[in-house]
Amino acid sequence: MPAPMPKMPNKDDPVATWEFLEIGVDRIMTQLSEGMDSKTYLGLYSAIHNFCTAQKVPSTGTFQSNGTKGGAHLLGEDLYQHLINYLQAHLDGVNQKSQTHTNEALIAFYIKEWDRYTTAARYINNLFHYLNRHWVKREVDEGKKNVYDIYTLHLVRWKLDMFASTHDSIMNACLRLVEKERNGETVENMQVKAVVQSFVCLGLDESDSRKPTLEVYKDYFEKPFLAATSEYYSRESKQFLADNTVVEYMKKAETRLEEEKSRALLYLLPEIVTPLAEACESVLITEHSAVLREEFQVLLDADRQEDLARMYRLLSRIKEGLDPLRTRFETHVRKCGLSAVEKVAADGDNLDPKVYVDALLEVHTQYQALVNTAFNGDSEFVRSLDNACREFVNRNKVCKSGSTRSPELLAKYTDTLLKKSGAKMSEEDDMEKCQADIMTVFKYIEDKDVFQKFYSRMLAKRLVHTTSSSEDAELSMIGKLKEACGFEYTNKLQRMFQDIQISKDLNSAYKGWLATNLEETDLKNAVDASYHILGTGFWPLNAPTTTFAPPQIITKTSDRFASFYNNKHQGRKLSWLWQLCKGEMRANYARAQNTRVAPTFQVSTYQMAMLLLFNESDTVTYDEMASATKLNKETLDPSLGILVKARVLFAEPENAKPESGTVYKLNLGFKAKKLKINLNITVRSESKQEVEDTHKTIEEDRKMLIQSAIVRIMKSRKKLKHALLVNDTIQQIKNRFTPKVSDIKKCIDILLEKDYLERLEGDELGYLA
Amino acid sequence: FYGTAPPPSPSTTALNKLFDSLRSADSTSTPDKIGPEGTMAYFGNLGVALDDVGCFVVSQIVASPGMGEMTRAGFVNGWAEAGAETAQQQAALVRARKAGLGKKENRGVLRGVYRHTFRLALTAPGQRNIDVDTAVAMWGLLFTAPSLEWKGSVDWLGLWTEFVRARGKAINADVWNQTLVFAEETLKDEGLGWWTEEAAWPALVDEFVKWCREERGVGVQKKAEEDEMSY
Repeated sequence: MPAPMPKMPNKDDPVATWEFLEIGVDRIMTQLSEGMDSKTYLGLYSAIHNFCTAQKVPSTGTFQSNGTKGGAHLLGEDLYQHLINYLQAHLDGVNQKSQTHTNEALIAFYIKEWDRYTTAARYINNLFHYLNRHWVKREVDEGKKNVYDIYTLHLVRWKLDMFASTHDSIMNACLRLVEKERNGETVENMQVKAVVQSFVCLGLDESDSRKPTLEVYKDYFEKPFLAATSEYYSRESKQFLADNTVVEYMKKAETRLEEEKSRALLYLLPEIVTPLAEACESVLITEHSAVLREEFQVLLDADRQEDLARMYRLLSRIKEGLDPLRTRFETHVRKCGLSAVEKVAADGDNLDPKVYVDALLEVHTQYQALVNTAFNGDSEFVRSLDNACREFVNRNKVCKSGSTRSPELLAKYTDTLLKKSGAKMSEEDDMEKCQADIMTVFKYIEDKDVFQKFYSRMLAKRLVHTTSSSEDAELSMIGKLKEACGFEYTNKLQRMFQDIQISKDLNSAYKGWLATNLEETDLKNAVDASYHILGTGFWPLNAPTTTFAPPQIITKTSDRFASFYNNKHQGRKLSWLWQLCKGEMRANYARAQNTRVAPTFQVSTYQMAMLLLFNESDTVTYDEMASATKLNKETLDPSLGILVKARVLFAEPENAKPESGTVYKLNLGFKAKKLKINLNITVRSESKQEVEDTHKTIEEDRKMLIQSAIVRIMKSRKKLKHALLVNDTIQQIKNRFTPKVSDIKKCIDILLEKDYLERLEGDELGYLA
Repeated sequence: FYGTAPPPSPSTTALNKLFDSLRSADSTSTPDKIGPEGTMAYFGNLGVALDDVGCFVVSQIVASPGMGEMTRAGFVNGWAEAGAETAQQQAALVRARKAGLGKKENRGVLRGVYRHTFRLALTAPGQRNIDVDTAVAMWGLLFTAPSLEWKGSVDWLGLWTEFVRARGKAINADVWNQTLVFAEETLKDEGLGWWTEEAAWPALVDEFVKWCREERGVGVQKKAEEDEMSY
């Protein structure tokens, strides 16, 4: 039981009042756990109240005149100063005791004392409620410095009389504790949390004591904590790297970063998370970034995806950490692409388009997967991948002979995919996947116009020869191209499809027309023919390169159709592309093996014209054949060669060249192995010629494309600096192909000469309407 | 105070009279046009010959629509503007202009004469370019003294002539006009340091520069060479 309180002091006696109060304050401060009865508490409270109101004139009630205010003022200050003196003396004692402790014991002592002190402070603050409400409030309102409410006064005294001389040793003890934990020991880390909270409480705003700031915490905790952390990890990481591989180090670094993050969340302030992470990243990553990056190539070469992902995660934490990786990644992918192409390039001109496209795709697929899994789909890495792919797709060993090889081969691969063939891969999914793959490569192709050229030629052939495997697949492919390059790019391709559709309707209309307009006997003897009517502007087809006199039966057939067509569409001109026509003939003089059926020859119209001559005579000379068909030598000889090779005809003398003097004899003993024999085989040199022609038209088309782009730009701008015009032109065209500056300048020259443009002052060009 | 005094205004009546008198010497003339016969006679009076850059000077003053042709309007307006009324005054003016054609301060005059000369060489309606031989002949007069000499430490005219002959491509108005600009630039810096492919030069000029550098070893920037040496 505490000693009983002395008698209430006289309210006008400051010395006695404080002496009375000091007993109470000290009891709260040092023996709070023993409690305080309410009578004592009230006695103390009243003593303060009485003291503060003692000077007031009772008759004026609550009214406060200027005269009385001055007295209360002085008396309040008296109490306040006494309390300060008391706290100073008290804390001095606490401070003395703290000297006897070190390390964890010191932290424990500090926290214990802090808790006791602050709890007491709250009680004393309540006790001095009246002083707070009146005297302190007035002092603060009048702008007096260094006057605080009683609770804050306690904190201020702690800061000055306790904290100032002990924070260094407290902090060192904390740091040693954390270091122990980092070294793997289990420690009382909650004590650190209590210290942090104490430091935070001491952050008092000088101008407004009720507003806490983090200044004390930042200066005396955060700063030394970060410094110690940096030093610790700087030392550790150097040591670890000296003894371990980079891969191991990255694992360690990642673990450490995680640990620090959870440490901060567990017993530090959330405010430290970012600066702590930065400090750790600086010593764990930035300091060693050169070493890490050195390892990047090794990991790429070994395809160590998990480690690459870890490196990405680590370096993405620091500023500009990834930039050097991107450059290396780009170079690496390009090299892989180039060497993949190099491997398949050995086949030279015979390079299988599929092999080539697969080689390109394989590299792309591999590194796209890497970007997505290891590099988190980082858009900058995607860009590097795109750059690398664009490089090796357009500039590689196969493209050495010309940058147009890639689009050409890609178009050829697409052709084999869409053509009817023995290979049974056209399952719906496969087709979709293959087309998507084609579009992947297509995206990187710079000469998109070249692809378009080859594609449209091959599509034309598929449509005319009805060798397309599926209309759905064709339309889906065109749809994809349209999506990638716009309506204009696929306009002609779509028109070609329309023509084929219209031709189908036309043929059935023609059948009806024949039935009503032809005698029955004529109808029976007529050649059963079907026709494709193809718009000249949309089809990449050339007129025949040879003269040709069709056999009479064909002429009759085609004339009949022409009269039907002209009747329907007056003023349209039909030109026959004989080189694309084909037909079937039955060889009634022969029998297919093991049957009694005459075999059927599938032939070109040219071959048909040659073979029909043998209806008149079993032998026909070369000259007769040439004059009857009017075919030129370049066409006649290879077509004839196929007939001889297939032993439909014999050349006499044997092995004679196709030339004047050679006689051809029908092989009446022809042995047909199958019912249908295809003699309409494209000669190899023919297709090579086509490729060359295609390339030639590309050059012409490009000139037109550049010129029309220039005119378009100038029409809208009217006046433009030369350099800007060149730049705008490149921008407009580059999704088709990348024009050379010199080519654009040549086109500007042409337009200047044609007076579409004029040269103005200061490198400017003007548009002449 | 010569510079500030207005030039004596020649009477257009006198010039019209002079034109009429020249017309009488030409059997093919129409009231407002004089053909080659009269024009040549007139040129003779002025002391210029066909193989003389002076003939381009006169043609430009009277705005000849073609070689050896003059119109009344061109004649009267041209001389009125130039301020020469009598044949003597005109001869003196042509002599002075011709003599000063190559001087730097007369670039404006040269440019006018040079540009007009291209028009002289167009003979058929709708013709847009002139053949290389004609162009080379005209350059021969326009790029030698007393006109601008296209020659420094390098004989640029010689190289240009050789190059365009070898190309054999007809010369259009733009190439013609730009050739003078190009010539002026080459004389400023024979290392052709000012040239870039990105600039607005006609393709023929670009090709010429490349040809000079690759085939002839001229027009190479000295500075670049030194830089290379210091490596």
